[in-house]
Amino acid sequence: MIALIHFEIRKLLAERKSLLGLVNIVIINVLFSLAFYLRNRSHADRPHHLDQSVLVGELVNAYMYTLGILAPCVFMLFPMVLSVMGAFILAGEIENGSIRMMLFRPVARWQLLVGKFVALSAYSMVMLLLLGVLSYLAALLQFDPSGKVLVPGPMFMLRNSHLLMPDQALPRIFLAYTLALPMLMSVSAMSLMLALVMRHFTSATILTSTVYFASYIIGSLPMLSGIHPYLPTRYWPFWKFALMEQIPWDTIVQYGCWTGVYTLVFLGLGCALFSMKDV
Amino acid sequence: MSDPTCVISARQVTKRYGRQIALDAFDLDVREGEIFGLLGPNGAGKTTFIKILVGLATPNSGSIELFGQDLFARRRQAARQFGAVVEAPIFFEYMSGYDNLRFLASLSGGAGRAEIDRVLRIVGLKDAAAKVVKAYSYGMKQRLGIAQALLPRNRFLILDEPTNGLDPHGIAGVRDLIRVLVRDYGITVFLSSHLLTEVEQICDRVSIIDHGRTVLEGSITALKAAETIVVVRVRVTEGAIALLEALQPMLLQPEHEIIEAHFSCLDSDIPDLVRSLVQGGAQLLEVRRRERTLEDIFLKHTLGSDPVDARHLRDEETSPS
Repeated sequence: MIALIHFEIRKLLAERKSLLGLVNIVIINVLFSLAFYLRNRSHADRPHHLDQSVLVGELVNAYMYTLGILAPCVFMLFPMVLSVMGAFILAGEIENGSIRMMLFRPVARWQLLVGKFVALSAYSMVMLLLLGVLSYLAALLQFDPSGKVLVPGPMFMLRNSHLLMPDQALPRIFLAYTLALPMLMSVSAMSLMLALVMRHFTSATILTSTVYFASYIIGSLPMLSGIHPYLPTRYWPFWKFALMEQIPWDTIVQYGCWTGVYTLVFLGLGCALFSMKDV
Repeated sequence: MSDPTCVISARQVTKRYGRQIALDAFDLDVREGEIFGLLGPNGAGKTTFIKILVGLATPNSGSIELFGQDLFARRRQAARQFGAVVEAPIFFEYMSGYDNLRFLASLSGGAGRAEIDRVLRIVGLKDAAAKVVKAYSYGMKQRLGIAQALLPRNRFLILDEPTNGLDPHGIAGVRDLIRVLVRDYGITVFLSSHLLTEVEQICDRVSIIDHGRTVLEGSITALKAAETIVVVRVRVTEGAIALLEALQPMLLQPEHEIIEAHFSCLDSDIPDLVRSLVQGGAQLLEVRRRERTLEDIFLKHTLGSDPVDARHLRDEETSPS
């Protein structure tokens, strides 16, 4: 199993598509930095209005920047990257036939799936780590290194905005980044499962993205509330609760468990699909 | 009890895809140390059987023993004893040839640098080992496929169409390589192909499969010796074609004023054949005895006596595409 995981990680490292995550992180940092730079320039000569966006702007420091960039990345960019990578390492290999070279070996199909899941999880972890480090370094070019952190509710899909004290900020950022990993792992499991449904790289990528974003869209429509408790996207972003002034640990544990259940269900279905069909 | 010298012993293997039967109670024995060829027209069931052997497909019924062990009950143990290249040698193109071998072998328990270098030398890729596979020619990939199938120290190779897509030099190279593997390293080779001349040159025994069933099995020497081809040339006259067709030739080829017909028969049957033609009024121009080729045997057993179909297949097989 260790040899298999090593192989999968080595393949991910050798493949150019793996740079997709890194490129995304760089691009979003460039855009964020540019946006803040332009905002600071345009606001320098104008009287301030006391709306929330101005307040947020005034409070920006490297901590807040590092936290603020997490939301778009974890809600949108990284799931998209994982949809592509999951489809590539499984549906792509089935489609082009390279997976056969591994299936001839004394390796069970479930092991192959788990190996790919672990590799994709490691990839998610690297993306989060790079995002944290790069965004903090990028923020240092423009902002103070630390300070209070305002957590705007709408940005993180929280009911209210929260203010974290400077001594709270760093551990909370670390906690939020850490808790984002199970969500990305679950997205990875879903991506691999759907890759086994489609067995075609492009179709699998589109299907995973569609399921993920459709789940969010449906989850935001009150008239479809009957299905909301069954949508994984309801439970996945439980990392955001780490940003509340009072952390609701019971909700984090509950949502974390549901995320784990979804991950296991996706992997279980994936194993069943992989074992049932000829390659 | 199975024959201890058998590497593969397949019994009553059946595989269906929906209503279509790909393998129909298929039996096969491959003995240790031989080069065994599985022949058949497209869609005969060759690749299906190989996919079942290597674990890519599951049969609906039947049993297969590999080195005396139940393939399905002990697949992981069985998979440690064979290497395979099925349909095409598709590697992880963005990795080097060496890394592909190292990581693939690691899934079977691993192979050291010396072992990997040894198989790279055997297949003649030692100097290209550090290059990414993307830069390899198709022939090099085929050789790399054989190299990975040899690791780690596999005793049995399963090769599906190993010379497909290769130029004449590549075909000769793979053919020589297979011979070396069997002669110098004691490896058993099971290969499928529809390149009959290749199989004829390289294999000890063959099995011809059609519509998922074995239609003929035996050593090439014995098969070729069993029957003779008699080539008959007659002048085109009224009723000549009907007369020849009534005698069920393997091949019937009208050319201008002459018709050439090939008959498969025993030596002792030749006088009767000639007598029938003469008594039927055929104007005989030539009667010639020719040793059967594997292609003759293949055509006879996979297409019956339909000369039109036989000619079509012959054309397809000899066409460059």
